[in-house]
Amino acid sequence: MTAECPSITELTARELPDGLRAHLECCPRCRTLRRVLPEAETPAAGAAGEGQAPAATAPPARRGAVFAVVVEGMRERLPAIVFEPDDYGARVVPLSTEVAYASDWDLLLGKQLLGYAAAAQVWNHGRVLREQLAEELVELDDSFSELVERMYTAFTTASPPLKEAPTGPPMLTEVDPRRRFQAASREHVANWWRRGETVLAAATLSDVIRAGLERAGGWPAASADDRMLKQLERNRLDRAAVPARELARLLGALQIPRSRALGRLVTQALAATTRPSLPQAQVLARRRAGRIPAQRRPQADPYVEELLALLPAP
Amino acid sequence: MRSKERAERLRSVGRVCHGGRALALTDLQLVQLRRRLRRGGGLPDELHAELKEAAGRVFRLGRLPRVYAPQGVWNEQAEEDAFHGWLTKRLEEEGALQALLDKARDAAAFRYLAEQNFRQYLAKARERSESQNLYKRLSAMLRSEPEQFRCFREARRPQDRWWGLAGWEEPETFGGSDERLEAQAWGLGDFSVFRYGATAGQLGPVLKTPELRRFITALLSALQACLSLTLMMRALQSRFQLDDPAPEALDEELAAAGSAATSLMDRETATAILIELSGRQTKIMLARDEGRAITNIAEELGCAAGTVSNEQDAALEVFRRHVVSDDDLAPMVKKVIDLVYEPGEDP
Repeated sequence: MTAECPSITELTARELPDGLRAHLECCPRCRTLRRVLPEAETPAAGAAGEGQAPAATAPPARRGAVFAVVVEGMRERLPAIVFEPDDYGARVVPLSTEVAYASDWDLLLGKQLLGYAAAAQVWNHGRVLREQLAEELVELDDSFSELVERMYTAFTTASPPLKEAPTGPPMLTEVDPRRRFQAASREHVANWWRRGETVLAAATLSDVIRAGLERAGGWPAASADDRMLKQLERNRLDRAAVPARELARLLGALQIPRSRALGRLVTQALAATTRPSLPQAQVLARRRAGRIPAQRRPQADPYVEELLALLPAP
Repeated sequence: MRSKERAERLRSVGRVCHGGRALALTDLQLVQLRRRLRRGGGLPDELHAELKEAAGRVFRLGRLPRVYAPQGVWNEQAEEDAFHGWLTKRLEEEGALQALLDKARDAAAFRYLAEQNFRQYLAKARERSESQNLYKRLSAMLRSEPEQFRCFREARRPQDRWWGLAGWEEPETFGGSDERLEAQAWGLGDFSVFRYGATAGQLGPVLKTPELRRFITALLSALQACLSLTLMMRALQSRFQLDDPAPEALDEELAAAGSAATSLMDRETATAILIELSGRQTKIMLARDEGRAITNIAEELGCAAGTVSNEQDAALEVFRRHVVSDDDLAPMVKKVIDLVYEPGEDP
């Protein structure tokens, strides 16, 4: 069973929701089970909207916090330890409850930390968008989050695992079944990493477009005209020539979700085509001279806001 | 018990009803319950009801192999016991309930995860209970195969005797760490794990004797040192996730390894297997049956060829849980494929 397949309750419900019909079209497993299993009583639900959870309003990501990471299309949340957080995303180490498969690059967390035993898969780290960090579950104490960071540094610098860290036994051979478990885990968490990696790895909007194109294998049909493409290749974006909805169509076709990180890159590309107005130029000059703190953020650009509102959630 | 009767009974005892209809947890309640449980509150009634409902659904579907039942038969008491064991041992003591709540994005996902967890618990509980038998067989195997194994250091208690390969001369005893022992055990690769068919009701081994012999021989060869029975058990426990054996079990002489049952290749078993397979594993199984190459399937599913191989292995593991031996695998695969292609009304 995967997170993409519905539960038996949903499969055996008298009335199928539209989304589930589409799933049955392409899933022989669920189609067969729907046919052979007896119909179930449908549980009574509350009135429409009555029991819906409020939109996630997680606090800013903090180093050492365990967050539930979400991604569009997956009903399962991925608990992960946050480190290297910034305004746009964070590097995270996913947590697995399959502690029996822990290797010497899995840090074992006792039940007292989360309420259940878990293995922090240091070897399976990745970066996610700020918007994917849906809920803070617990905060680890400093010594533990430090240990995670030291394990990560050791792993990424090909140093030996830390002796003092509680881990599983090392993998000594290629036939160790835990390698297969790791391959499956890597593929599983890639669903969470994929949505943000293009934007988080990009320095400019044109990097985002280029990476998106590489992944899509070329320009999606009827998603962009020549004028827009030429501008984007030079990381320039003329708001008068390229309406936000047109850019949103292109980014949507390339499966780039909305995020602060993307908003920043679009703002940069817009600024590259705009000469600063006189007062703006004065502000920049004062900032350069150190008379205005550099961290003061510019006002939200309506173009960027419109664009982000048109894009799918991460 | 027939599935219809079971469904009726569970409808009366296994569900929490309100005005004649089952109550469903809402997404908002899920968020609140997740936080409440983490703050240290007890199990709220609405969550208990939802879990009981999830277990009831798994029972009602009637696709649970008899061997998952504590006494080999599903009846009202067995279902109550299984639910109670899941709730107290897995969900509360081990904290799996908090993990399910942390992972579920909404109430529907929680239901899905709870059903999956309950099935896994039943399968695993069975395997763990078989560990005792395995340890007894190991002890007997070492004693009864002098051409293969030899005791190099005697002790009063069987678990303290040190065993090596019969051909060795003055070997050392293993003095390494548990970590090294466990790493070597994992490093030996795959072993065919013995499972039960749908009609089996007897206790039996986790590893068949030839596989157990292969495991111990390979472990001794890799370590090049004698191991006590206690250390061998530790290696088996880590590698196959078994329970600790009761100490008295080690002092007993071996009872003949009870064996198994025949597999029941029927529609119920095929459905049970399909429930445990993922959508992707099912597609891969069908495509392989059509004779398609792994690279071709990988391209169609948008994943790596290695992933297809891994998924195929994982699917075979699901099949193995429901058949007596690997000889029964191919017929069972055919049974499941027949079920998928069985003519019937489209859902």
